[in-house]
Amino acid sequence: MSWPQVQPEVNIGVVGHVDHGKTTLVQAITGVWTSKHSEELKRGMTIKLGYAEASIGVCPNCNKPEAYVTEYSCNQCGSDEKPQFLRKVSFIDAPGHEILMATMLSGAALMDGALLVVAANEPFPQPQTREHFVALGIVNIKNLIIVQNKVDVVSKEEALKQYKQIKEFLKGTWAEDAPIIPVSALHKINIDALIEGIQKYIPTPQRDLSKDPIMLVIRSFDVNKPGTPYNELKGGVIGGSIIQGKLEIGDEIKILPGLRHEKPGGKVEYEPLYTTITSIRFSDLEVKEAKPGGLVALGTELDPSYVKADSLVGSVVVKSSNKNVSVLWNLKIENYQLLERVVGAKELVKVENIKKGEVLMLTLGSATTLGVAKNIKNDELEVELKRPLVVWDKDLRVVISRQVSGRWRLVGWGIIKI
Amino acid sequence: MSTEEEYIKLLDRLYSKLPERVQKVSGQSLPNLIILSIGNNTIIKNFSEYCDRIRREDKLCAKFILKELAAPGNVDENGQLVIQGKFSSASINKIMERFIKTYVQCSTCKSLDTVLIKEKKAWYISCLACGAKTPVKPL
Repeated sequence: MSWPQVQPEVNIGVVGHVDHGKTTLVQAITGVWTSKHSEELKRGMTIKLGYAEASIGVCPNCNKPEAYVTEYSCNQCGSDEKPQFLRKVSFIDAPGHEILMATMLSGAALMDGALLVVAANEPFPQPQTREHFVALGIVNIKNLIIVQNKVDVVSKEEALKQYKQIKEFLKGTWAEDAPIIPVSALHKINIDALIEGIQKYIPTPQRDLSKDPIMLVIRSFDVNKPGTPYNELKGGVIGGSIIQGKLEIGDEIKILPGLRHEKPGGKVEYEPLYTTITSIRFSDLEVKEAKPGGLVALGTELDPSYVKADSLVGSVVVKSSNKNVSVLWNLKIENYQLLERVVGAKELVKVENIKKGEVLMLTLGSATTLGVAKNIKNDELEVELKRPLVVWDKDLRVVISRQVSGRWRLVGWGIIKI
Repeated sequence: MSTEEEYIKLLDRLYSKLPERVQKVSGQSLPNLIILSIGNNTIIKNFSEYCDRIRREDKLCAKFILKELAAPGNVDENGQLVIQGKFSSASINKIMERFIKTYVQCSTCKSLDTVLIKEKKAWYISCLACGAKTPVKPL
């Protein structure tokens, strides 16, 4: 007997500055090295969003935090009594490099809670520590754990000094009471204490399964090997996270905004893609229905050429019958707020007001697009988009970034007005 | 809410579980390179011995030096690196320092007690002192 094979029920983001040990931390918890792409291995950094799952259990015979385990046996007491299953969680490993901020923002839309990783052997806060922290606040992630990593390479005094700096940094913010857990991801020390923290501070959100299903796409791929005979070809696969409702095998779905068509005269249009779900899987687990939590891969009947090389990233999947979803080329943003300072740069530059004709980068859900600021009134902003955004609900928050010294920097947010 | 006492308790727990550090090579000193200029050639006499000390293949080390100097050369049967061309010992030492910083030294704990692991397209420095794995650019 082993733990139940279930889908993950909560998505935990792993964010922080480049090279602070996010991927190593995910490996320490789950055993999975999420950087799989050859370019990621060569360069030693996360480029795409990484993903891994872990089942959490508790040993009835051990003291806490040692009792928390992620495998179906307890190495601590060696007892025959197996650890009791608590829940399955998934980790979304975000890139920390400043040029990959858009990727981090698209991953943030899927997170129910987050681990902000801080390296103990570097000055605090680093630019992307600040920027990721602000981004989490903007996308409304309230469950945060600060993980102080690489404590094994500093003295106790240095670790404590940084603890006080972190506390000072959090003072007066939405995360003032966030726990700070010192770990060594490399030596896998205090990982049990971190798992205890995850159980305590990142609860599974209440899900309303009766709502119309909405899935945000962060990956799409062709699973056919080159040379596969035409009669054995499998349909395209789309990967992402369901944020509300549930999807089942056999459901008729539409993917918005869909396929890009260039009309004569250079006019661009997007045509929704309609298809049927043929399979659903979470990592190695095949299921009949998918609920929110974890990253799900939907097998479809789509032509594989439509989905290859992540071409549908940023799309939204809804049921074919859903008429409440808008595809907008012009975005009206109200109550938009700009940060006082550009938090992602080394120097905290003042954020200037948005000017008419300025090119902005907007992130909504897992979609990122460029747009030109058209009308600007008091707290209302109208943006003409280069690629349409899919709006599935009222009062959605859109993240606004602008180019500062050749890099896209997070500068504010606003509410989409439909 | 986590208090400072809870944090210190976890911190002490972490330090108590840390493995004993392996003695670093950097604690011992690396031998100096013996560089001679003979005619139009520059010879590093103790080249193979030096490479053994830093746990790197002499071929790899030679490739780096020759590339940086843009000069032909080879490692002879006595373990000497023979470089065709006249080069100052300062410039060779500088290049060797750069090699150590890039392909030998652990970026986490600064130990020189490391091994180079080659996995398909990716190369890593694996530290024997702290266990860290640092990706490096293949030569």
